[in-house]
Parts: sequence; C-alpha cells; structure tokens
Amino acid sequence: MAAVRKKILILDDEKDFVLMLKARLESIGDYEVVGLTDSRDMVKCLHEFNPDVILLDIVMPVVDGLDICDILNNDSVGAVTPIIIVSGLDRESDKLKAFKAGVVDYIVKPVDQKKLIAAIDKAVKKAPGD
Amino acid sequence: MGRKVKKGRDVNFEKRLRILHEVGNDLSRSDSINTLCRRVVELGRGRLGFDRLSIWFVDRDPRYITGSYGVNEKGRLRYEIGERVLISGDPAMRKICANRTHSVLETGVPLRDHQANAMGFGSHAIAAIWNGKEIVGYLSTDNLLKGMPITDHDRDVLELFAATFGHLYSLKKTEEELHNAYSRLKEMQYKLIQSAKMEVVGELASGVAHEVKNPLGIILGGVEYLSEKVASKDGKVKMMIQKISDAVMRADNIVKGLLDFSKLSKLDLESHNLNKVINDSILLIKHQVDKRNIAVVRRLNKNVPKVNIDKNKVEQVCVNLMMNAINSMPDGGTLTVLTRVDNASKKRRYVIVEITDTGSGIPEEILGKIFEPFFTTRRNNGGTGLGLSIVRTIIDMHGGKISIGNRQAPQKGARVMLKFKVN
Repeated sequence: MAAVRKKILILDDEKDFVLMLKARLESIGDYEVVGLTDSRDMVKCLHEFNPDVILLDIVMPVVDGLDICDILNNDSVGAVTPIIIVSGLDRESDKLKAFKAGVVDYIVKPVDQKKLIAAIDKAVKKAPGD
Repeated sequence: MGRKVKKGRDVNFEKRLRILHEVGNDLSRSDSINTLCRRVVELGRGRLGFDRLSIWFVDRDPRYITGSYGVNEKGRLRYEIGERVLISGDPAMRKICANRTHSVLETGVPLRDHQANAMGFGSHAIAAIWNGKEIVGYLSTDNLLKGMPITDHDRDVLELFAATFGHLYSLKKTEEELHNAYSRLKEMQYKLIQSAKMEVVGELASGVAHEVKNPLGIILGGVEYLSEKVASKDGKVKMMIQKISDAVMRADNIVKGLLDFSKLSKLDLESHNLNKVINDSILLIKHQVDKRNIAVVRRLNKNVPKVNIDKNKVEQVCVNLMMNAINSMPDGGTLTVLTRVDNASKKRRYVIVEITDTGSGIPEEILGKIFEPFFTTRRNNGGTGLGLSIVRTIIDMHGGKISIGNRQAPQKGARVMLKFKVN
C-alpha cells in the first residue's frame, strides 16, 4: 500500500520561488504540494486542500506573513495546521516575532533542502491529531 | 601730624586701589584658570607689593585645602606649593569659617615654609576667596622674606584682591565648564549622526540583502533540482552545476556579510572582562585549531580592568581575527593571544589585546587595503572581504583602535593589536 503523501501549502509572492520549491518537494515523492502567490486565496485554499503543513513567506505585499499567522490562528483549520516560515529575513528580531505568532520553525532563504525536509517532517509529526 | 600721617596712608591706599583696578583688568585677560592663579601671585607681589603670596583652594572634602600657586621660603614662584592640609589646623582660616568674616590679620605668629617647617615669627594675613555663594579658597600673605609689617590697609587690599580674584575665578571656571560641555555635546552630536548614518546604511543593507536572497533561493533550488535530474555519467554538466551552486553560496555569504553590517547600528554596552571574551572566542574556534594542528598560547594579564563593550560584537571581532590567523597557517603553527594594560597616557588607560600567528604574514603591498570592504585574497576559498571592514567598524564604534602588521623579523607571521578604552 502506498504511503500517504503529506500535503504542503506554500504561500510566497515570488512566483518563481513557489514553482521551484513545489517542483523540488514533489520530485522527492513524499509530498503533494499546492503553491499560492496571493494571500487572498489562502483561507479558501486552506479549507479545500486541508494541508498538513504551511510554508509561509513574511515579506509580502498587502498582508505580510505575520498578519497571516494571526488570521490563521483564528481559523478552525489554520489554528491546527503547523506553519513554517521560509523567508529571506535573517534577523533575530524577525525570528522572535514569528515564533511569538505561533510558527513552529523558521527557515532562511536560500533554502537548504535537507533542513526544510527535516522541519516539515518534524512539524507534521507534532501536529495535533497525530 | 596725625592728620598728615592719616592723609598719607589714604593716598597710598587710593593708589593701591587704582593699581588693583589695573591688576584686575590684567587678570581678566588670563586664558585659563591656571594662568589666572599664576598671574595673581605674580601681580600681587610685583604690583600690589605683597611679600609672600599663596593661593589655597578648598578641597572636594571641605575640611581640607590644597595649595595652588605660591612663593616658597626662597622667594621662588611654585605650583602646588603645599599638600592637603586641614582648614581647622590654621587658626586664621578657622576664624574666617567660624565668623564668616572675609579676612584676618595676625601678628607675631609662627611663619612656615611650604612644608610647614617653622621659619620664625612674623605677620600673616589671609582673605577668603568667594565665588559669590561660598568660600572656594584662601589668599594668604606673610612677611617672611622682607620682614616689613603687614598693616590693616594691607589686609583690606588683600581682601579686595581676593574678591577680584574670586569673581574672575568664578567666571573662568564657568567658561571652562561651558567649553567642556560644548566639546562633549559636539562629540555626542557627531556620534549620533554617525549612528543615524549607520542605521540608514543598516536598513538599506537589510533591504538589499532580503531582496537578493529571493532570486538566490530560486537559483539554488533550481540547481539542486537539476543536479538530481542530470544523468550521473555526465561529469562536465555535474561540475558546471556544482560551480553554479558554489557561486550562489558565495553570493549568499556576501549577503550575510551585508546583514552583519546592518546589525552594526547599535552597541549593547556592558562592563566585561576581555580575558573572558577571549577565552570564549577560543572555545568557538577550538575545532578549527585542533583540525589544523595549531597550538594556542594565552598570555592574559589577570589584572586587566573591565571595559564597556558589546560582548557579542567583540567576540565576533576576536573570532574573525583568530580565524584569519588560523587560515594563514595551513600546515600548523602557533596562535598567541595576550592582554595587557597601557598606562602610558596620563588622561586614559587602555586594555590592549594582541593576536599573533606564525603564518606567512601579510604582503606589504596589500597592508593598506585590508580594511577595505570586499577586498580579499581568499575569494576562491569563500572569502567575501567584509570581515575586516566589519571588525574595524565594530572597534571604531567602541571608540577603540585596531592596527594590523607583520611581526618583526626574524619572527614570522602577522600581529593584530586592539585597543579598548577603560572607563
């Protein structure tokens, strides 16, 4: 019986980054990936796709990643879905804000694939209901 | 007869008052408190006719006075004519303090030299120097050298002279304090401007770094994806992909260096012992030292005073410099770190940190460029050239100094000296 693939939702305003990351994760074979570039599609996609983990950028137009964390914390599905930040911001203050907002991990771009996979697997294991 | 004598004395007194007025004008042109005090004694003797004259200032401990300019028992002008003495040990000064009077004249009293040795008996007058609110010192005269009697008129002239001096002293002190405050303000303003500039540079660097990281992430991710898909026997393609990957990592290191710069706008200052910072830094590089067969020698002075530093940043400096030393000794060698105190300057002490190695040294022709941003001789080994420019910025922000050079022949290797101010 084939192993169930983990579902990953990516939100980043950089279209090429989303395409690249999606292709990399899907090529491993363990993941089913949906990529978004517009945060307005987030909540709808969340309820339809029901991901196991969300990979979220911080610096985005209109609504930034930390504001989205607040929105997700108040959503029935979002509140129980682990969030991993994937951002170019490398300052301690940004990481602190992110963890205070409830994220479970913080990966700095450019992304080290092994680190990302380890973070995803850890987050999925720890998710409520597992 | 009595009237003639009195009239003669009045004329003489008036003449001395006129001279006092001229002396006051002369003294007002003094450019410092030091000059003012010296001129008081010179003019007091030369123009107003006092025998010996000396100035004593009330100490920070108001029970004591300390001698300023004066005349010794041989008639020579001296600075710091006396050590601290208790006011209560001088009957005349006691009288002034107790009675709140301005001057006292005593005759037939023991006279002393500047070391308080008895020199016979004579007359002694003393007048308080007021700054308008309180007594800041005493102007004292006696007749040790010429033996001429000191009269009530002399005492009155001394009192007026002390009043003039007190007024001018007060003005000069205020002037000097204003000047010092202005200098401190200018220095603070300069530091604020520099800090604001650094903050702007920091924000800019942070913004640029963030924007660059996105395309770097795409390139690196794409390269990793391609390297998995390319057939393993195509060695040249794999090599090319590896080179792209290496170039991306190098660009990422430069971005990290820029981000380091962006964090330099503020220092988190606390009092630390530099020996501890050095020991912590050596712990961080231990693995590199063990790997390359390098001996570490510590000569850390136990008595170095604490300094106000941003510990994390200074540790970053030490690690950077030690790693440079280690990299210059690929076949092993000795890394020596020492600390000492520099007491050479009277105004300020410094703690010196020296880091030396036994490596290849630094070519003379590049010594002038090593602190330039992006200058590196190790570009092919991942060097970005930002390390020493960041090191110097951190040291500058601490108000310290850094110098780098080669050790004196026949010794091989380089020597770095850091200087930190002791507060």
